Amino acid sequence: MKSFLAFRRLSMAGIRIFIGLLFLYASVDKILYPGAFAEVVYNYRILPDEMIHFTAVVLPWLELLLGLFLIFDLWLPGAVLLANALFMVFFASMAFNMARGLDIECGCFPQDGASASLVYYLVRDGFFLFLSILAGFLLLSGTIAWQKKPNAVK
Amino acid sequence: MGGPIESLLGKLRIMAKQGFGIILLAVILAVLGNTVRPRALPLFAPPLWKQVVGSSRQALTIEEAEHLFLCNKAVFIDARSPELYAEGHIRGARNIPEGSGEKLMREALSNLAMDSVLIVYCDDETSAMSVSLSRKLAAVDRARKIRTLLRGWDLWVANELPIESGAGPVEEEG
Repeated sequence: MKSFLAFRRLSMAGIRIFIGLLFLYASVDKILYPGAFAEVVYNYRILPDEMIHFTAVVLPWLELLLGLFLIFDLWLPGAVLLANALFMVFFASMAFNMARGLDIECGCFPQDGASASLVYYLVRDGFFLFLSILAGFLLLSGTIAWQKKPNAVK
Repeated sequence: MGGPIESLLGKLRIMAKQGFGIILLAVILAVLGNTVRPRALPLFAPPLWKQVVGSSRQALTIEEAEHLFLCNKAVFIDARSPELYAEGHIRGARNIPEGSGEKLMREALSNLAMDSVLIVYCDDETSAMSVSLSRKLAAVDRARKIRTLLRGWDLWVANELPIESGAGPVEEEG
């Protein structure tokens, strides 16, 4: 039982640090070049024009904070919830564009270009989504992240 | 003492509260960060290209052009006269004066890598020359990714980005 708990704890740490590093890596270029990221946001053709700049400015900071919170285990439940929400939104946006025949550039990471197919991006994002769902499951089914008030939530 | 459902709801409440806190913090940091940037994006204004050239994504911001320049992903096309080009142009830019014939444009495009974005600029206040040349180039080669940098030369100089002078690789009618 002890070794199982240790394995759970290790898995959780591995997943949160991996996803945290992903978010950190994804955010830096977008924070430095919000104008270029605005074009990526626009190309998804989902948001109204008035929300493109706002999204292009806020989303990278959200990714940066999420990365830091996940890596340093701060507000972990909230960070895991947001990571799940973001990966779901990314996945749904790409699937939506694929369904309507738009060949868009993912724009998730600095090296993403038009060369890779949308299917590749979907599979990759699906994997990240799977990891974050797994983190959510580990969190909700365990007591790791709820230690500040051990009697408040069993 | 609550049951498992209440326990789960309690955890979800904590998740939602913390998630909201992180979003709030991100919005504050993003707005502050954008405010202190030298070229802040107007948060709720439609992108420039929408305001200027309608629905087609034609125009780049100076920031986007700078990014592509630094990443070496773009070839700049100077739409001004050869004389103005010789006086000063964006470093590495090619000169295809607006009004050039189709043959010259075709030859000029054939020498440029297909994976580069072509960014057309001029010094006209209305950017009429660069918009016109962009359209002509797009008509000559529809596979090209062609963008316009509105008020390009003025913005480039104002932002103290790299320039050079001299005749350089001027495209001449053959």
